[in-house]
Amino acid sequence: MADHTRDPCPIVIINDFGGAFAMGVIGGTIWHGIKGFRNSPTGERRAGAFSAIRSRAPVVGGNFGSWGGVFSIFDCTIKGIRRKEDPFNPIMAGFCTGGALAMRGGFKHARNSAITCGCLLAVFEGVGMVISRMLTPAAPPAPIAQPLEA
Amino acid sequence: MVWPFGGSQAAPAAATTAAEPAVSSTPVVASTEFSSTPEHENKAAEVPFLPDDLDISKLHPLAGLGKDLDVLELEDDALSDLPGSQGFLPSRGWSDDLCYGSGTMYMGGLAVGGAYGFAEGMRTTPANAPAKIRINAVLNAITRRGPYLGNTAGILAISYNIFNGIFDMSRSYHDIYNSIAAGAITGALYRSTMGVKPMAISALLMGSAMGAWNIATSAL
Repeated sequence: MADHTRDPCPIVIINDFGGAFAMGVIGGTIWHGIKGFRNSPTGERRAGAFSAIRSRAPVVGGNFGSWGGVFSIFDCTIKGIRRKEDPFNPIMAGFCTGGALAMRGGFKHARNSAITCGCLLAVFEGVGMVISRMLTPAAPPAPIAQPLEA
Repeated sequence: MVWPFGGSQAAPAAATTAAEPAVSSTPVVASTEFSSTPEHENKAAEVPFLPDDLDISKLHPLAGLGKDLDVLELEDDALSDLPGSQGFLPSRGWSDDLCYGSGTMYMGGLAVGGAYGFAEGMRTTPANAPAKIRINAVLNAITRRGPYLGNTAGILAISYNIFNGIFDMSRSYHDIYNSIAAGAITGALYRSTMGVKPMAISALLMGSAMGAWNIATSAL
């Protein structure tokens, strides 16, 4: 059951920080490039896109990176405490991450954010399980015993 | 029984010793017999329920059930086979470099910036301020300084790694000139809105820093 495409636990946190940050930066570049392009007057579209990317893409990357990294920290902690790997680990980690990142907004905000993130991760895990079950080839049917022909 | 999702904690030693006579008296439940391949399907229905005190982890040794968390080591054949890229850090190619490089830089920037922000917040609030105000000021300073430095360092690491990966792939080998060129382009891009002279200075700095990093890592 061990997932051999991922690194062992303490070090995978760095990987997740970097991967989520890179994902956020690249996605933010595309998103804010298009947004800056559309929101600029004709003749300054390229400059507008560039300045929007420059000022906004790192922020999107930072938000993604801190979410992914904190999630990974909680995931590793929960794995270490529970000593097993099942779909409840990411759900609990998502709950904790949502709560921790919204902590400065007060208890109510943190609670709502934690519940939202937990539900989101539960949906992800459920969809992932359904997909992996669909992609797994069904076991071949047992051969039917036939009487030997004489 | 939660067999599909992982092994239960190994049974305590007392339970396993008590279980031994039970297991030896029912040799039907052997490790190789209990599988669900078609020729065993009829047989599997006849196998009685597993005894409760049987150590499940012994049934499937390859799955690593019942052990502690699995620790994966990078296998040699999974490592990058690009000539010249074997450094002192194990890596499986450019995506590994990208993730670990930007992750390290981002976390380092966040930590350094956060520490600076902490010091700044402690310094700027008066010593006799109430604790609540002090905590708030310190947190504000941390969240202002930490992400700024972390984002900047992470962006530099990402663009360096992307350019380095492009050069490695297009030349199909890695050497120090790829690194220096990638660092120089990154530095120039970073200061590209400031004019030509800052671009040149920044490119020079980043290129020499990457060259020094390559020399240092290849010397180890």
